[in-house]
Amino acid sequence: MDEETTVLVAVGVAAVLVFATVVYITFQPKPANEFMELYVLDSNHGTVDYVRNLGVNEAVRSYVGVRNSMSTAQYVAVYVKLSNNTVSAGPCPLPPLVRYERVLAKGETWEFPLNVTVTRTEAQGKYTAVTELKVNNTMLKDLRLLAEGGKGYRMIFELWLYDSSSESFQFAGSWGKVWAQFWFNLIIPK
Amino acid sequence: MLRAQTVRVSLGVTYLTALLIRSVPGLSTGLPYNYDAWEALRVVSHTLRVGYLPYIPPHGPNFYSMTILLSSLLGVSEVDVFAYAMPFISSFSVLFTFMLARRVTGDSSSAVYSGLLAAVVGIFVHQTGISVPEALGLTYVALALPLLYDVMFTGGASKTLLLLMTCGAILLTHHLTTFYTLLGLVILSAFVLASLRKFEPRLLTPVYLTTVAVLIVVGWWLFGIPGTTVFFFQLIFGSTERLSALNFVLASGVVLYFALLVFQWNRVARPPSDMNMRGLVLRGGVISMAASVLVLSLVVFLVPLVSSYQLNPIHVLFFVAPYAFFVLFPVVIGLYFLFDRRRDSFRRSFSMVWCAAPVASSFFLLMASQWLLLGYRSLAFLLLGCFALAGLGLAELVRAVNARWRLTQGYVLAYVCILLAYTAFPPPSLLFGHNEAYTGSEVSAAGWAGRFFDRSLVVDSDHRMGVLLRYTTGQRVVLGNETSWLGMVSQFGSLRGLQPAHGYVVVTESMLVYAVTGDWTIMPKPLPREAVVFLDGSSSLDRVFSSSTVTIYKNMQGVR
Repeated sequence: MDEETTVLVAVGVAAVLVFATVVYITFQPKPANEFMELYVLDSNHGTVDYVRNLGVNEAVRSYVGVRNSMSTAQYVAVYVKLSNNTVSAGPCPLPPLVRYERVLAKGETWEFPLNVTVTRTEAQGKYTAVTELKVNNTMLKDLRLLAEGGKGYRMIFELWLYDSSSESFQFAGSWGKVWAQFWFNLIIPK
Repeated sequence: MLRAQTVRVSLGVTYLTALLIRSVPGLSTGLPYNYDAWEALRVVSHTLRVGYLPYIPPHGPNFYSMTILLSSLLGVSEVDVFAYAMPFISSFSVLFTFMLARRVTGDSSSAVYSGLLAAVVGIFVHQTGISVPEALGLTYVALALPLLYDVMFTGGASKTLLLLMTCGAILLTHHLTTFYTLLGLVILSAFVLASLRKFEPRLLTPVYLTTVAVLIVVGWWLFGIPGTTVFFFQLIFGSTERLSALNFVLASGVVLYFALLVFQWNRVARPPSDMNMRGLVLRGGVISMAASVLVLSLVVFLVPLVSSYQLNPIHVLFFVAPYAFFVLFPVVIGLYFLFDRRRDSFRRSFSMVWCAAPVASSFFLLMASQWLLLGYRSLAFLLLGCFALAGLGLAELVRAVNARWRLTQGYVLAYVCILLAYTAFPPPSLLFGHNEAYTGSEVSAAGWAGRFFDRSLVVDSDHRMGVLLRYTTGQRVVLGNETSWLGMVSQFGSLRGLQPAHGYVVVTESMLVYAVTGDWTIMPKPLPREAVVFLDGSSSLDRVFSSSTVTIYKNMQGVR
């Protein structure tokens, strides 16, 4: 065999191997190109004026957004929870105050306003408990979430996706653990 | 010699191979690859938005103009141009490398192997595969070298004109490539003048070119792009104030060594009179091993002195072994054969100076404090100068083996190509935590930041995510360095208070898994998980955005 054989085999086989590798890579699922997003915006639909101090019967408005960048439509639920600085988050073990559900098409963004009003509090020594709360039009009673001096409350938003195999909503999955929160202090009436 | 048809087919397939390898990042992520690509993209997007370049970029306007033109002509977004287009252009460097090798070696087999190496050798693939000015600059240099060879040794008005145009394109494309080219021209001019016995105008081409080029290049750097290239030179020279004489001695020593190779080959290299292959292989092995050990020693001992980088055996094996065995070794063999065939010092000089320039520059930086690390930037240029020799070495090694092994040799060479190509886009674990690939979720998060961030606030992130955030928000981002909370926590491991001035903190999964990338002289380290626990549990930080790979915190310190 002559020198041309070596040249052609080297060039040809290298090209075939490279081509096979590139085809393999191209058809591999692209990492983190399927994802879900959750965000919270302030009352001005921005990221500047999140509430810091909240008075009783004072309404605070925010916007919660969810974007589906998975490859298929998703049945999603946003769990809204009220927590304090002693309870863990992501996920928060407390039950949700309210839950908003919707089917999101691929690539769809769903944004909804969230109005929260603390309507009643109770002093318990150096602690303050939120006992009544209104979230959008839902009045929630008999709550007992304490915070020292009314400080360090947080509104947590968790994204749960419906899993058809377990026929239930799941917090963690291939989309990761997606959750957001903002903190606020209660202004306690004297 | 190969038949013309074999050469044409081989070159066509080699171009496709080069294109495919260089397209891997774009095809696997669908996004521009490498941090610098996003910096360049920012300039291009701004220009497309407002209709003019915001300023003359430090590299010159050529790369930016070309990407804008491609975006307009192809009717695709500039992001797609950055993700997919550059490999189509830069893969032509393979054909130009073939042209140079055929001229230098006079052997088409060697030239095809040279082109194949240019298609697959990792560092060269990386630097010509990403959408940055250097990729285009290197492609122009690959074209300029065979043109210069032709003008020097055969002449021709059209080629002279083309050479001048190509040199102009290099100048307006990338400053570091311009520097290496100019340095090569200066050394070539010196070698040519030392060789000249009578007035031969064509052979003096590099001297004319250098004279004109020095004036134009320095003028462009001083007045065209003031405050960038010259500023870098000032920084480098400033760092070597006490040792500048030693720096020049080191660089001059390299040039002198190459001069000895060119002018005193028989004394320095002592080639065997019969060019016995067994003896040459032994010499090639010893020389390439010795050179590798020398380079490794310099890296292992000097790099930790000027930076926090630490090499481990895996890095050494991954980055040094393939180049020592499959590039340096055939280069040495090729050198012996080339100098056996080419006895005139003009042609010998031409084949040496493109290696001498980047090596001399790297040796100058050996004693230039942290600038030593810049030496890695010369590797792609050095490889461009080496491909012709390596191709000749491979061809001669193939010929030295019994003809019945030709088929097997082809398979072995193909396997070597794949090994070399594997080093092109290393995983972050082999790149000190540098994750050059981006994900759709990161780009989407950065897009969200662009829509909702307050432009007056500073963003705290790392270099990798920061350049993307700069692209989408246009605001000030601290890039994981000593002014960044993320940078400091990753480097020192201990949690500290966040600066109130940093309005947003953007954390990526890549920071947790690989590293928070920051100052280039500091080895990046991963962000401790405790940092995220701290951010999530701090009542002065609202967690306002979350996805699988990106979390954005709004710093509410100072807000009442």
